Amino acid sequence: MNTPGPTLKVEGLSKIYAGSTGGVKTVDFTLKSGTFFTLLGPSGCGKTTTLRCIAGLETPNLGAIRLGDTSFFDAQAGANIPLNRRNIGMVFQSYAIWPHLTVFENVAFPLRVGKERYSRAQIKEMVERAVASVDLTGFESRSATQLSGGQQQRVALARAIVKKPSLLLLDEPLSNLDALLRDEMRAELKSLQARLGVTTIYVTHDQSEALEMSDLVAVMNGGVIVQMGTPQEIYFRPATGFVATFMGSANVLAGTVDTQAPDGSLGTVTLAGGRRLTCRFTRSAAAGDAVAVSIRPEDIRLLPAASGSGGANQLSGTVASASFLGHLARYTIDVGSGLTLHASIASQTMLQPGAQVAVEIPFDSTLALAADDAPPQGRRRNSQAAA
Amino acid sequence: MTALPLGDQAIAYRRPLGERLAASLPAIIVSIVIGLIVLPPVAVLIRTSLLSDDGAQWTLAHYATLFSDPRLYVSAWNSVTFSALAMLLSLLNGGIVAWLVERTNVPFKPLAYLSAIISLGTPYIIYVSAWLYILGRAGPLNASYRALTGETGLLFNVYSIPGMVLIEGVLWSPLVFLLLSATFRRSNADMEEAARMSGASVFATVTRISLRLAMPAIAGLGIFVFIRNLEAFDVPVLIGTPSKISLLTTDIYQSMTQVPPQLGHASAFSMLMMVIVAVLLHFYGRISKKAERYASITGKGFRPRPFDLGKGRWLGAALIVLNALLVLVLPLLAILYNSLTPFVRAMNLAGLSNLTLDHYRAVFAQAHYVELALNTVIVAASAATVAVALTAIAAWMSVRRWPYSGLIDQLTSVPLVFPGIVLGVAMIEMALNAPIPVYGTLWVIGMAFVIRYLPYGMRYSHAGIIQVHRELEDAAGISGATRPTILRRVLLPLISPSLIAGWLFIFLIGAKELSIAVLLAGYNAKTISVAMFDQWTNGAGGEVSAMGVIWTCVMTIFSSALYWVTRQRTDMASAK
Ligand SMILES: Nc1ncnc2c1ncn2[C@@H]1O[C@H](COP(=O)(O)OP(=O)(O)OP(=O)(O)O)[C@@H](O)[C@H]1O
Ligand SMILES: [Mg+2]
Repeated sequence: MNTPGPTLKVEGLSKIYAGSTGGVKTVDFTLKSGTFFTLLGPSGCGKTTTLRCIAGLETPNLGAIRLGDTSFFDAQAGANIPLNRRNIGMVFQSYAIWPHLTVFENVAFPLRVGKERYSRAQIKEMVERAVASVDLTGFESRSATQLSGGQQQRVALARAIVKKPSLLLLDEPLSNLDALLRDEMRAELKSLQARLGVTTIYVTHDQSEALEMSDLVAVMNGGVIVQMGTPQEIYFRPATGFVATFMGSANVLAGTVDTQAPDGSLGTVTLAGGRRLTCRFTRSAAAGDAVAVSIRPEDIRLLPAASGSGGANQLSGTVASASFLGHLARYTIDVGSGLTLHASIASQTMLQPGAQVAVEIPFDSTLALAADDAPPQGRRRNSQAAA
Repeated sequence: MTALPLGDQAIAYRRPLGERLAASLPAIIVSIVIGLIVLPPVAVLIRTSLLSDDGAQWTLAHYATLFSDPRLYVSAWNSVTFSALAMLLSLLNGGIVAWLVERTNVPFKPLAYLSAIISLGTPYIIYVSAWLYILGRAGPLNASYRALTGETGLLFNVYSIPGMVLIEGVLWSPLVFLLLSATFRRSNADMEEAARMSGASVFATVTRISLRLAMPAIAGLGIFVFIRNLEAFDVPVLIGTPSKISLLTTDIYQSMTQVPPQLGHASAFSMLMMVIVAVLLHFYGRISKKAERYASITGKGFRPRPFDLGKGRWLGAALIVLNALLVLVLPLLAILYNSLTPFVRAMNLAGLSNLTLDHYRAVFAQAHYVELALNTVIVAASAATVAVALTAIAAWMSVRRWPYSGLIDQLTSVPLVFPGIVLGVAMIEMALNAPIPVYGTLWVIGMAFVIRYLPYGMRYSHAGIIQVHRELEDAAGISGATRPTILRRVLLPLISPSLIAGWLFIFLIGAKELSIAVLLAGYNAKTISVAMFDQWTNGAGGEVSAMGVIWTCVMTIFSSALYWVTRQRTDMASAK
């Protein structure tokens, strides 16, 4: 692409379903053309709602959605382009393949019903190209009901891209596939998206999917975006305890800051049980602030006796339970004062329950994060553009 | 809206007027159309029942006369006894056969379906006349009783409430069978197997688990059949009236056919019946909600495992054969015999050696009959088409919750409170006051059928659309399709099996409907069941039988199609 495509801007989007409190409270983001953007979050956090608002399947209450100079929706200006005029491709969670049509007709449908008219030859060519790009050549005349789940998913994808959409929306497209197929499709989807260069919004509740595929990830909870950033930022510098938990940190402990600590510095935090840990602060915090301390289970070292190495919190504890997972062993360690830690260690030698161990946690792996119920410091604009 | 962060720049989106209209107008128009179809009959009945005969003043006189007449209470008591007993009979008969067919390894299952399908298309009047012959004075039952005992009297007098109950009960058994077999088919065998594994016998499992689970469905069906029996017209008029047993529906019919017709009285009477039916429907609705909760539909891989009855299978088989004899073989044989004998006579060798095709010749010789048949097909088909088309759109709006579609469901179920005869009364009053001369034409009958069958159409359309995942429509919208295109190219093809099934069902019951048509028919605008009724009352039983045999054959084609389509549909639904 020589000219950069249009930028997608979602500003102050809010959609509360009539007669309920469910939906999306407020969502902002800006995506440069070609970004692979993922909305990640637990069930019911509003991912689908956000997607449906962008697609035009729901009418938001507040905010604006703009693609380049076109306002898909603008509450203030009263603009609302109907969904069939937005030229968006979407893959639904259920695939939504029409069972009464063949694969060819399913893919050709957007070309037949849209405002633009295509000749028969054009339709044939475009459908063939779309079908080929999802590796389904030869299946065109099959009835959609005679396809496997993975093949249906490809048909849905072909249908979404056949018209060269300005935006591609994918709602948990892989969640109905088995684990092996899912891995395979991740890579394929990502490379297809890169080839097409189409801005893509991908919805999932699987953090490994989000990390592997995305340029930019937004973690949602309770109808708001909690953190937005590159996969590395989200993984290594989670903004809150919630994000840390969601990204696979098994140890998230509540505590209070002992002395004022600037962004990126080391400082001490007193945990609820009275134990004190030295932490790396990812955001600046004042003395007395409530924080969440996150320790990934794979960052914990278990030793027969304290090594006394610097730069790590030193604790001692008893193995409360041990389980063998293959390449890893998972332990829960009772370190006293009402505190248990989860640790994942290489499994060559197994510790037995009851064994005494020294526990070392590097300061850099002990992260002090904003507590979840703490109000966000200032009103940070979440807008960020992908690199 | 308190949860919204209403800052200075936050302005809630308000759709422009044009968009709001475009979004709400379709459902408003459909609601108004349906309202205009279903509400006028109620309004007309209320009005006429409250106007004095000369139409000069408002009065409660019609109600006063109605309630002060002791005959009302006799008729009401007769109606209730008749309806309740006939309901029990058909539940027992249809229910046992349905359970045997769906949940056990009994042989001869197809026979049960065959009986039900053929009987679905057969006009009731044919059945009734067949049973009147079988159980009547000259019929095989009493004839053999006299031959065996040498008595001169009757073993069984069919012209009595027990006779009516017997016939009505048998009439409804096939439908009960079809509806309950759907319930039993859906119920989850796991629960029964769990009971068997806990050590329960087949009998204990059936009484303590299966029956308990099916109870709400059975109770709902019981109320439904009771209402239908209360509204029944064929059996009361064909058997009750000659034997001076008055029922509510025949009382209304009589006050309408008197000279001059007592419109006010009939309307007050109709209002009373509507109120009774509405109350019963209320309970029916509550019970069927509960039945839905009990219905244990499981998804994929669900195969009901039938009970092994052991030697009891043959007892079950005997029951199925007996049922087939009652609902199919005996009546059809009787009708066939009657259509082939020159006059009503006992079934014996003398009769058999004297068979003739005269009645068939008579039927085919009269172009009138062909015309009647055509009339019936046209009216039933048009009514089915209108009702299905309208309800398909109405159900679409209501299932997808279009703005202002809230009233659609209630409006389409209003006609459920009209017994056929009551709707007939209302339609006559409307036709008499209509600015264009429609009285006595097929148009009125067709219109009445549309009103009457709207709820059935809704039921089929609703069931069809609910099965269509909403994302299938969303995907079409995203692809660029407008709403009419979505309807035409995605929704209609997907729900067509349901719509066809609904169409066939309405067509079949419309084609054999008597109670509405008998009041509304003009001399040249009759349906075939009215013609049969007229011929029957004129004493031309042989011709009625010949017509009945022909008509049953034709309608069996349609009812087989209905059965086939419905099977396809459930297969499709369970394949998902
Ligand atoms: N049509 C609706 N009417 C009312 N509330 C709704 C509707 N659709 C969704 N909600 C509510 O809005 C919230 C967000 O729903 P949404 O479907 O966006 O969640 P999600 O993040 O996609 O979850 P999942 O991962 O389960 O798909 C939920 O609490 C849900 O109950
Ligand atoms: Mg979702």
